[in-house]
Amino acid sequence: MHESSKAQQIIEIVSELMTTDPTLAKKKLTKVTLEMGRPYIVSPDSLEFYFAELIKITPWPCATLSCIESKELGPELIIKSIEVDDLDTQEDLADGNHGTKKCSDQEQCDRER
Amino acid sequence: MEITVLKNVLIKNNAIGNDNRSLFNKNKIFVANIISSPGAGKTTLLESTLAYLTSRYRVAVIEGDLYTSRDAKRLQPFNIPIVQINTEGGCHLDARMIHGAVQSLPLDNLDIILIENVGNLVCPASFDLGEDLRILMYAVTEGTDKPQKYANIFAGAEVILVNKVDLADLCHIDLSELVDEVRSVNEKAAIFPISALKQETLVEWQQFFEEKVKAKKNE
Repeated sequence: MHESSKAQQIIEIVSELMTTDPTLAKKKLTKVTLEMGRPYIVSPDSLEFYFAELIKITPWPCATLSCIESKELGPELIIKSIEVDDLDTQEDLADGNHGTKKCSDQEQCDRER
Repeated sequence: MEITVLKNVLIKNNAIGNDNRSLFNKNKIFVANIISSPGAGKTTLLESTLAYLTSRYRVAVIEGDLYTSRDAKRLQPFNIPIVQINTEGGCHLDARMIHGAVQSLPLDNLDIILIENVGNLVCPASFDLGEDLRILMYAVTEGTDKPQKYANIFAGAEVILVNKVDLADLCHIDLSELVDEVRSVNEKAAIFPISALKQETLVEWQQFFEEKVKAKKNE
């Protein structure tokens, strides 16, 4: 159950980054990579599930979470990196919707994943 | 394009936890976070501890539960400030919840805040609330195998209260084996075998706790 709050915290952190870093203003978030050390404090599958649900109500509903194991870490969760892409259309840019419109179709979202 | 971030997921919780700690330090309030599985005896421990502490110190309690205010009602006879947090399904307290709860407490008129976390041996391990002391209560009825199964929560505790020791024989629990299991994941924690229902088993624990409170006052 605490995977949902962890997923929410990941989204809060990357949302803050995406909305405050001026170099990311014309980008859309596509992927978040999370490093986890042993012993795990969350179930990776569950965390990815909650992330996929909670990201739907952000401007980047197609973004995915990828959990990877780190030998150097202890029981921690570190957001290692994000991947971003250019916003697809002028319409996206004008609306400032960061790809929401293009990704709002669930089937397309699933295909992108 | 990949962008390196390298941020701890709990960075926000930890920042608020540190704000809480600063607030508690400023007011010289000693804060204990009591964690256990459901039914291990946290509220009974609070009843016994409050019976001892309230004649000596100004104490408040923050009660964390998924639903109901039953535990808070149990503590009402002590006539102390109590804040109930209902997480509505959430499996732990986080620093933001504590930050909200302390707003309604008379911080300039308190010596101790006791936080009863949501009953859970997994989730509360990750969340710093800004406490001075993390207490894990563990009942002998839970068996000797749990320290290694729930290693994170045992490893992070500064005090482990082994409760219901009066039931150890009935449950075929070897206390020394249980202590060995605890030590396999936490070499430093202070361990107190207690029965929260029996005041005479709590003396050593209460003295330890009181020393911590005094040390905070004298900082």
